[in-house]
Amino acid sequence: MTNNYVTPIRPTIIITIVLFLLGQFQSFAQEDYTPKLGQIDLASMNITSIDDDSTAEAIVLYDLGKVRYGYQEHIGIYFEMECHVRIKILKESALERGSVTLAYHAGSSDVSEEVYRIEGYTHNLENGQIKTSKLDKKSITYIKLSSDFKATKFNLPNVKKGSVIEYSYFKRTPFKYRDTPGTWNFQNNVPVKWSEFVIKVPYFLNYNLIMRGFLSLYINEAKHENVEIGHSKLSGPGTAYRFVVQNAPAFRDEPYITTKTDYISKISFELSSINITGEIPKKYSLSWVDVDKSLNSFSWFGGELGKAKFLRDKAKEILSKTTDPEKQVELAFDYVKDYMKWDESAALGSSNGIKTAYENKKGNAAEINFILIGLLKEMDLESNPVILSTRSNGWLQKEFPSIENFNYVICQVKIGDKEVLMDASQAYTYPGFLPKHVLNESGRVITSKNNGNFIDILPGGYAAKTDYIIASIDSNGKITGNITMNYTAYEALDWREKWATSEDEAITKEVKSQFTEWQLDSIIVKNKSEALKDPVTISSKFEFENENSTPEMIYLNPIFIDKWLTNPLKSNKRLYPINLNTPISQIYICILKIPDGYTLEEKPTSEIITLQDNGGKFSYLTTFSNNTIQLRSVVEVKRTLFSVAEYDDLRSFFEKIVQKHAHTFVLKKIN
Amino acid sequence: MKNFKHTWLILFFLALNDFTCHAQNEYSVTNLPSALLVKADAILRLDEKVYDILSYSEAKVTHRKVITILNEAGEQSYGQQAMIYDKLTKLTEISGLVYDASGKVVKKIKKSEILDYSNSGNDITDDRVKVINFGKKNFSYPYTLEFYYETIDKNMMFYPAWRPLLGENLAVEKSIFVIKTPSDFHYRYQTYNGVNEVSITMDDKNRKVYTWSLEKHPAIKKEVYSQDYDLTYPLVLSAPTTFEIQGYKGNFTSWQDLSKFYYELNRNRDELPVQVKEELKSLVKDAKSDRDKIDLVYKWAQSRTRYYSIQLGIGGWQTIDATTVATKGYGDCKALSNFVVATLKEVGVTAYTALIFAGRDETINEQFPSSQFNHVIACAFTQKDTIWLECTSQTAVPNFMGSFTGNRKALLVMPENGTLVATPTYTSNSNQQTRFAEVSLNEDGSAKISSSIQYKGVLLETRKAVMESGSKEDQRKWLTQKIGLSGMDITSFEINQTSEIPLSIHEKIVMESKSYAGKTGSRLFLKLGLLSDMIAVPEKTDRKSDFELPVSAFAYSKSDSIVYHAPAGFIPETTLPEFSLSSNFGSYTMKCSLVDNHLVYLRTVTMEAGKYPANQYNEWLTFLTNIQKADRAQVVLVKK
Repeated sequence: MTNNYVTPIRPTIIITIVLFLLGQFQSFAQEDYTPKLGQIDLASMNITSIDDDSTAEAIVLYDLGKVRYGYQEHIGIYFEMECHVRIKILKESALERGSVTLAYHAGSSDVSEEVYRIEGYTHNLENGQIKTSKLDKKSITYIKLSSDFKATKFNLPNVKKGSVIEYSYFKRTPFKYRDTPGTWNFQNNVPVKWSEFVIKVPYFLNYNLIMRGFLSLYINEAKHENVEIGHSKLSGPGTAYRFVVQNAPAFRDEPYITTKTDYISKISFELSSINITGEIPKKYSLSWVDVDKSLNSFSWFGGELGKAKFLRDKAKEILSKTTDPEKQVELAFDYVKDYMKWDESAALGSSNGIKTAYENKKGNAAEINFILIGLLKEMDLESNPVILSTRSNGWLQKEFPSIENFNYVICQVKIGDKEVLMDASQAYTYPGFLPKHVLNESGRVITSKNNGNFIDILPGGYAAKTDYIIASIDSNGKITGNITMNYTAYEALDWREKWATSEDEAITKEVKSQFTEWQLDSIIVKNKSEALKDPVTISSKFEFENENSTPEMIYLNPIFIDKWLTNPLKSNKRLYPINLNTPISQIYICILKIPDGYTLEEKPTSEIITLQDNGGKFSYLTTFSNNTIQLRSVVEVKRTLFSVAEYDDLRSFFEKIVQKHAHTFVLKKIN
Repeated sequence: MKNFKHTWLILFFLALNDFTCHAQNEYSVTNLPSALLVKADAILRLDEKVYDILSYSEAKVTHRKVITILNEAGEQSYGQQAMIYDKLTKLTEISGLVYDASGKVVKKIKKSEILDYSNSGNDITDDRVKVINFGKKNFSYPYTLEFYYETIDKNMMFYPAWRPLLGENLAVEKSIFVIKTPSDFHYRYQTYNGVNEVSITMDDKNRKVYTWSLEKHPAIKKEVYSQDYDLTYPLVLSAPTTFEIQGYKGNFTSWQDLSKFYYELNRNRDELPVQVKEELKSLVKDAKSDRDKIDLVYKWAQSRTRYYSIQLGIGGWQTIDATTVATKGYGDCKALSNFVVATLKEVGVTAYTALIFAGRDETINEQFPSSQFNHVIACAFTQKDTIWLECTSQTAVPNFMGSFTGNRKALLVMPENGTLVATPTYTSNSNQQTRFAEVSLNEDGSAKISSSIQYKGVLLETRKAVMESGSKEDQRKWLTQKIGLSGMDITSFEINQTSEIPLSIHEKIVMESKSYAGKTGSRLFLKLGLLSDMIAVPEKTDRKSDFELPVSAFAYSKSDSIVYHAPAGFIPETTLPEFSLSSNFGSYTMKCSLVDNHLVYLRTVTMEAGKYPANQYNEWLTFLTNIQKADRAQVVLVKK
């Protein structure tokens, strides 16, 4: 370890390597890299690969972000980020990297950002000589994107396959607009040779620095340094940080992850306090209790959590209907869910107040669940909001108390000693059964007494489908019978979100389109949305031809539907853990009578395989008696999280299902 | 007199009252004809577009759209309305209203609720858009929204078209299209597909008023593979004869006129720097023919330029000069084509830029000369050939236009006599895919596969794009997904461009599959067509409209020759399948035979694009279904 990397110098600044970051640091002196703008050497021009990825369209040779703080009379404290990017263009498809758009915030001077000192160069090799073209300042354009944002655009000259393009600029952000620098990504969709982030934090600012991802830091320094920012009260001994990731491979998406941003290697910041000499320190979310307190103090959160007087009559009406608290909760939930339309946005709080939302009959997830909480409180039931981060918003970072993490609110109610979670913004859910997008491990209950706590947010069931088929096959290979398909829990939710409001005609059409070669007769759809806890059932009579029948032999695979045709895990390598969202249950049962005069020549063997650590089970069971084939295939994946080490196990588990589902029975005519 | 005055006042109020009552009820939903509600998510109560031509250089546009939203789907489609404007189209008024079911105004959109965005993305453009989002508050269905805007239009190269049936699931109660002109003004229009007779009147300002209208039209339902709107539904096209834009005068009565106008607009922008001229001279010094020169100059231009869209004012139609492109190394389609034409001329090759409507299977209306183009390419001439050049791509090859600009007419931009000229055509004969594969099966059903495929014509486009973008790892993932064999891993692969005339892409893959054939006991179940491209069959419907199978997807011939090496001791238990089929839509053959103890599977498919009558739709589905069935042919191998 270098001397510079020890434990944090200032106790309030935490550097923690969250999750999977490999916390190993070199003990040798690093080779440093500090290229000069506009000047390049032959070696950099000639680079064609880093690591073994020699086929990328481009390589980011250098990506620097350098943040310093300053003070100016009319804008107050600000920070200024210097960016310097150098990219080698390897394929034509990367030429567009020579066109740059920088967006920034616009508005009154104390909140408007500025971009300046733009310089750009393109380096080309011509007959072994480096030829550099400079960006013409006149070709830099400014565009107003919307009322809040502007953009600066420029095109670097003479960018060709083989060029190294280079540009730098400064961006100034008033502290009043943002009090933290933006997240720095060490990874790109092409390899990055050197990515460096430098920040000099003045004495009065305390940040949490949060590092995430799967790459290790090449340089990780924190030094005492005098930080001069142009104001006597604000200058003084601060801390200079420097972080470098070297040779970062291109970031690639993989299936079954929460969201890309959870996996990319990056550093982000959170302001924990401002402590200016001679002023009262300002604290921001230092503890979870602080988070609870802040939320309770905000009009858009705590301010909406009183009783909802406008729902008093409704509350009385519900209470008069039943004395069973469980039923009362259900009635309240159904009332709010049916009355309110979700505007399809996630939110941590109300935007126009819940009364307005109620009048509009439309609101975001927080507003709808606040209304439910208000109604439950009017009914004298104990109910609290639970804040969480949806899957697309990324993992919750419990290590760092902060409001920024969260983007969604659901409702918790106490019924006796039971605590039930619900989300009234989602049409086809019910108490205890939450929508898939909120299933992101945990959430935090916020109470009026500021004694909130974290709770698990777990799937309220499986993604379950069960198919029953009872049929017979005749000597010509014609199969006739009945099919019943049950969609339960998350399968039912998916189905209902698509079809619950559709006419039967449209559903029948959709069912038929899944069985193009079958004759379906009297399709019956039951429980489209009447009893949400019960399955949606679709049943029908059917008839179809088995294709591989000859007068002598019948070859038959009785898995007629929901056959696993391919393995969803295609790649043979995996970098990130697997996150399945919900557990899976797929049951297929077929009872098939074979024609008289035939005998079973060959039957696939029964097999049961399991996943490690009670992860799941696949059983494929076949029997034959009384001229009847019975086949039962059960796929059950109980866990939703699998580590990288378990990937191969899961992949071969799925592969086994694909293989077994391809097996064939052989029937032979008795002569 | 006193009394009279009084009466007059009463009459006034009665009239006013009458008017307000009328206004309130105008958009009530009670009197809607039931026919309009069938399969409709929304009803266009009124669409009134007035194109008021003030002079050859200016028009005023007013457009009022009143839409009754019947349900959520209608809100999704029409609950937001937007208007695009730029330096030549000045937006002078924009407003919105919401009415409840009784026709009472319940909301007036405030200026602050109208959002304004740059429409630029990554381009440089002065295009902007104003958006009104009506659905912020959840109004109970049905409700009615009104969207109104006015513009002053100074881009008189384009006159509006009228396509009154705006979308699926939208019924039309009333749509009106009005063109007003000074009394002695000339312009052109053409109507199609049963548009009502135009009514021509003079208004009180001595202006000529042309009016087309359509009333009470139920929601249209677009069927798959239906023809373009313009070939099916009511349409009015209009275009200027004489016009003026930013000081440039034009005349548009024929394709020659259009060609000439663009030529004049872009004239004298082809001067090249001296240094570039020198470079070109040495570049072509050994060229033996004009074709050689074209190839050399095109490759050279590709290697030193890149595409970047810049559309500012008249610059949307006028090119950046060739010298600027030479020094900066970038430009949009006009600028790059102009640059390539300038360099070709410099080396003594005749060349012109050409206007074209680019995009998959797009065509223009050749009978109605007007600005129908969205792209510019270059066209060079040798003594016997026409060579088309796409100048915005660094990897395109000369004269390969493919589905983006092939199979259509382009307008050559010339000082005189510019005409529409056909770009290269692509047919089932030129769009080819030829596959040879060897599959070595093991006793457990696993297999090692080596496959080699050659792509030609539009069939090579996807492979070429994959070859040119992404890293090897990305390509491997794409191929794995595309081939989709059970338990497959690609051992090695290569995608190469093997020739330029004709352009051809070669893909070679060695891979393994854990369960290529199904296994039960002593038998292997081998699906012969596993490597072939499967045929999808569209849904069976009660087809109403004629259908058109586009060239980009339905003109090809594919052949697969696959040799299966069965594991030792395994022999076929069943007769070997064989099938063939032929119709207007194409032909298909499939045959499996035993040659020297190996199974040889041969499959050919030819598809013919074209327009077919509605009553042949089921025939087409049967044709596809029969192929689909034949492709599932299986051979059972049993161990003896």
